Amino acid sequence: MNRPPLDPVTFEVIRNALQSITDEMMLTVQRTGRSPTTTQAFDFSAALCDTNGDVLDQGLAIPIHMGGIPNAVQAVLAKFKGRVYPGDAIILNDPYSGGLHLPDVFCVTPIFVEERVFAYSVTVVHHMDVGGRAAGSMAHDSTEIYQEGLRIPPLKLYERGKLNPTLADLIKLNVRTPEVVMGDLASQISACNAGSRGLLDLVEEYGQDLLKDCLRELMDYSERITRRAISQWPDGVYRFTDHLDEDGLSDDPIPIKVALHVNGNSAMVDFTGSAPQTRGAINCVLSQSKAMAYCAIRCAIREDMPNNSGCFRPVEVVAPEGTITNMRHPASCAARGVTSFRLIDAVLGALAQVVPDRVAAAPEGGTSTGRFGFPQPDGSIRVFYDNVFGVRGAWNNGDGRGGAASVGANISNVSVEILESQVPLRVRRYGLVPDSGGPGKHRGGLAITREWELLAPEATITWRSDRRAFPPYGLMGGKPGQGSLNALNPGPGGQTLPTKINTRLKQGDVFRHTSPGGGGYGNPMERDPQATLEDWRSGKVTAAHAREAYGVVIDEAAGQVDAPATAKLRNPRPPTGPSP
Amino acid sequence: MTSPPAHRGYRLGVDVGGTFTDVALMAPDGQFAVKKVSSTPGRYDEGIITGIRQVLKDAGVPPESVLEVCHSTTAATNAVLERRGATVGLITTKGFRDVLELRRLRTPSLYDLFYTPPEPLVPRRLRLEVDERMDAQGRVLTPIDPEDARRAVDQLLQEGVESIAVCLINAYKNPLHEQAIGDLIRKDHEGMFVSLSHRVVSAIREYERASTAVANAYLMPIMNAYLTSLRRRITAMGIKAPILVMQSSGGMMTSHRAGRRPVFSLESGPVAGVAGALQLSKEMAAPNLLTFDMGGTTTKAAVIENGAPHKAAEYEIGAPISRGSRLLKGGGYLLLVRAVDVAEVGAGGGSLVSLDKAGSFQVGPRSAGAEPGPICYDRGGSQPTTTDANLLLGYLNPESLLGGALKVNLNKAAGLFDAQVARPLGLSLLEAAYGVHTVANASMARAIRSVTTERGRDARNFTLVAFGGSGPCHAAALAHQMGIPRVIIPAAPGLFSSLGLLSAPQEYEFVHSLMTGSGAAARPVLEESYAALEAEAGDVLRREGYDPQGLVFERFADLHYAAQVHELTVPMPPSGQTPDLEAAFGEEHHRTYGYQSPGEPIEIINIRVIGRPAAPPSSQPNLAAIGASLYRAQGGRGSRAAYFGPRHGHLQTEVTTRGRLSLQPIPGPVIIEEYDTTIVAPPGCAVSRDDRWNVILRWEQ
Repeated sequence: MNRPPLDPVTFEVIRNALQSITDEMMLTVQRTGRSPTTTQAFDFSAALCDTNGDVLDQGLAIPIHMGGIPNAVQAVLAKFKGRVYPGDAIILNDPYSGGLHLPDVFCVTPIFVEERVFAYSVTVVHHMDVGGRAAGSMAHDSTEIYQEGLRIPPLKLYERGKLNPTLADLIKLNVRTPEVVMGDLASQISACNAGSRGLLDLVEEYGQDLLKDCLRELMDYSERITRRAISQWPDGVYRFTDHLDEDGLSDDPIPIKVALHVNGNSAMVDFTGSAPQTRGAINCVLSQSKAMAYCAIRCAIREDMPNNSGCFRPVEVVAPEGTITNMRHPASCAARGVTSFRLIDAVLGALAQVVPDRVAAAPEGGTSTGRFGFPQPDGSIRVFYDNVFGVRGAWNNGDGRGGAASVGANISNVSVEILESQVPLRVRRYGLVPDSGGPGKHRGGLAITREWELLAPEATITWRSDRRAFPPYGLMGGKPGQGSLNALNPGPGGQTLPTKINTRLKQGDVFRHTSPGGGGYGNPMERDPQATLEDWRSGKVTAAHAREAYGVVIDEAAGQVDAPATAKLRNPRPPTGPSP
Repeated sequence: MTSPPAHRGYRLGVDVGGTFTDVALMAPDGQFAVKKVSSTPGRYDEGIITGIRQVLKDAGVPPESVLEVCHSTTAATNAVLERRGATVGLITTKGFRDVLELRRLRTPSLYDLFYTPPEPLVPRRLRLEVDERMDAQGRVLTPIDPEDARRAVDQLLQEGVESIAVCLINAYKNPLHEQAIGDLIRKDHEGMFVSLSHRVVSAIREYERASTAVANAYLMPIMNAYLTSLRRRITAMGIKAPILVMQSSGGMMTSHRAGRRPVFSLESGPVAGVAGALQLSKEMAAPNLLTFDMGGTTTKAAVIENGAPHKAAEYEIGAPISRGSRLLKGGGYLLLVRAVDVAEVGAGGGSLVSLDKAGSFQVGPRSAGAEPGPICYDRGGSQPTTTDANLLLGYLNPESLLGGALKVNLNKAAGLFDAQVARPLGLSLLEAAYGVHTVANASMARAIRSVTTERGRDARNFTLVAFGGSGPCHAAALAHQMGIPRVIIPAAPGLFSSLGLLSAPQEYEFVHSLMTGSGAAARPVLEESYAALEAEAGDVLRREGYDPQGLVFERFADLHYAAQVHELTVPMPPSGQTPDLEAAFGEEHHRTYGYQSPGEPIEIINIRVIGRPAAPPSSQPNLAAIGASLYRAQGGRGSRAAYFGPRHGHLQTEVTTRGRLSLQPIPGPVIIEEYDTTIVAPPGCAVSRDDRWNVILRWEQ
């Protein structure tokens, strides 16, 4: 092609405009959605894709969704090629037909220019309920996909602007919260339309040929940055093994194995050797595992670049079929979030050997999340969602923080007051847990705990967590964070619950989840005693823990570090020779 | 507030920015005098007093003739940005000490393993819990124990706090326990600053309310000291007039109230400019305006629609300057404060041009600031900026700016620009400079888009009003890029904000959280609630010195579809009927988001009333008179070469003054030089002035 090279000005203008469009799509879902996942937790994504399904730009959202989007669009194309019309809105959620797990419903709408599809608007929303065995459709203990809810292959919810009443009726009948689900679907379509309007404005401004060139160049640009970064990494094979505690149906630990091959300006992430697919619902489709590998590598390349598919071209992902990283029909997958997060942790563990100063110790291991179901007098079931997360691992220049979402899912917590005003739950506690951060020269983030009391006669609960037996790892001599814990009626007579539960609560029951603490970075005996003193003052570590984990002796009465005692504890033997 | 007869009243508008303090003196007949003096950071009242003294002296007006002083300031904003606020203690419900630190957990960027949220304004050791609890319906579950509360307060005082915030769970439903703690502090520790969350903002969501109350507590001591000192010094000059402070929502409030609720005036600077545009909108009968305020470091944009500015219910302060997205990203301190919806992007005249390794370049968000400034100012700047690009393009006077006060070094700018931008990009000097100009426009377009398209409004249906030092230089090209046909450059664009202060009404907003369905049964409750809220508002305003008989109230409601969380605010329809209110909400939802859901249950979340004195300010700025006095002298004319992109290339361009323009449009390219700004009309853009001395730029269709 002999077109003159794209000028850098137009490039920058269009790059800005695309971000603005996907921001607007995100905002539309959040403002008009109906479920706590959309309105409060930001558990959704929005993107513009080209006609191959490659992501042109993605909103500030969920990397877990990002890798799934091209697959979803390709599934739509495979089914409807030549039969896509203006005003169509095609939805799907089946993981074996382009989806990720059933609660994530994709909505794809075509953007037409001169009677041809120019691009697609895509939104993915984690819906409050899609039917199946448990309220909220997130049970960990389903053993086949058929138990998990309504499976939707690519189908037109709207064709040429007209609602498909058959599909709508089928959805409404099969989900516990039809108004909420239909309201969230409306927000998805509204957001897709906003994306379409924005992109058509650009076509009008620049013409489709120039715009296409620019979109191609934007992807090439991200690819170039990624390749340049990878080319600076030493060639080699870097291996790391992390574990999931279990699948909730047996007690067997589940290994996740990674071999990261760095070869010139490209990389291969090989998950071969990871566990076979599980009976419990924590299996990933291939596109999910790819997304997680991409996410980890993107994190280790600390460069500002557009969020498009170009970043991922230099990365190949291998995941053998029939394993937890590439499930085979009819494996179940509702609670596969834990696995997704663990795949990121495992790839980052390998990357820490390549670029130790660009990787943090392990975070909490992903969002702990659950669904409550409240039977209503009229026989319907109210579903609500809550989550506990936000603990980071330490890094070479800072402590891990309690208060920042995982890199895998940039979501928000749910307001206690909104939760209490909408469902019969009372939150008794929400806060940081002292002594729970992994000790290190830089301390891991403190665990977060949240406690709910049931006010209604009964409710169902599913809760998904992990990292109790295999707590978040430390790096460079840093220690792991504290493991997670689930407790029913904590205190005398209470009981510890498994990491993954699907059970009932009765009135007055108190359920408490404590997340893991983040991993530490560097030798804890090298931590600045003043930093530990400040932690003690803030109630983040106790004096006993300071002594035991950091070798720092705090004179509690004076409120100061006992320097001689600390030195003695940290260096029990006096120096044997003259200092150099 | 009893007003003396208007003919005796002079009004002062004082706008304090980071670099300059502008003082405008308005005579009862609308004539005005103005003074620009250097700001005095740290002791802003110095500059203000100097400015006021000079402007009164020059105009020969005795201090006792001043009726009121209208004020906007960046003092509070800067205190947050520079973390110079008070040592604050926070009292929370048992079990919720960490709500402030945990925030909402979303991060402002993806793929960042090292993201560190801003330090909470209250460290953990100063956040104490009290054993008490309200339920979601406002019923007491655990009564507050006064001894327990006293212990917490005493401990905070021992730790040396200067200000105490209290935020208890569900206090928006029942504030009894917050009030008890407030009473206890006031009784035992007179003079202590207290921010009770339900008093600052009575709205659901514990983190947002705590964050707002804490920011208020953080600013109270500083703003009180500042306003008290300012009042004292102004009084000492012989001015016996109240000081009114611009609120983020666009109205003025008494300085006493501003001292107690400083978090409500954080955006007073940017909003003063919007108030100026509002005055212009009234005078010109132009109901739909887009404001474009381009300064040295940032550019601000806002929408005036149907004669009223758009407002947002919440925003963040202290985040690194965003690229103008309306998505709250969690990078700053969240405030549940109703504010004029001003989008800000990190692109201005001083923005630095930077190249990345993959061959792309950006303008901003880093800025050369006032020091060292752009290369061409020759004050030590060595990195190219937007202003340098504008100079190389021939838009700015190649010898000097500010009426000759600032000499310009063109050669130095050309040399460094060529070496750092043009050659690495493989472009000619002019192409590169034009590229920087255009990319700055693209960045600023994001600010405009975020207040228009992201709010469901089409920018092309608005007229752009450009002000601030650099705005008039970029306005025409920016408008062209966004398809906006018409641009207005008002008189005195550099002083626009201080004029805005003099046109803003005194205004007080009161909110009551309702959380009710809007069915028929809710109807009497709604009427009762409005009446109760207006009664409360009347009481508050009487204490501020207003005559309740002289106040008028407007009613608004915040609504959403059941299970939505974000509300839209609509005026209560004249009928006062709930179905009409619901219909108005449905229309607004359709306009904003492209659809409505007839028949779906709607909830009324909050009711709002805005109270204001029935009588308008005694004198309003008359922009036409100001223009006439500034621009009657015609000034010189000439021409120089200016570059307008590859399509037009280098063109010999007429350089003229506003005084020489007529009502008859002349075709661009034309450059209009003024004391503090330069207006650029590219080829294809016609220039005229109107009978109010506004410059009008109009693109051919």
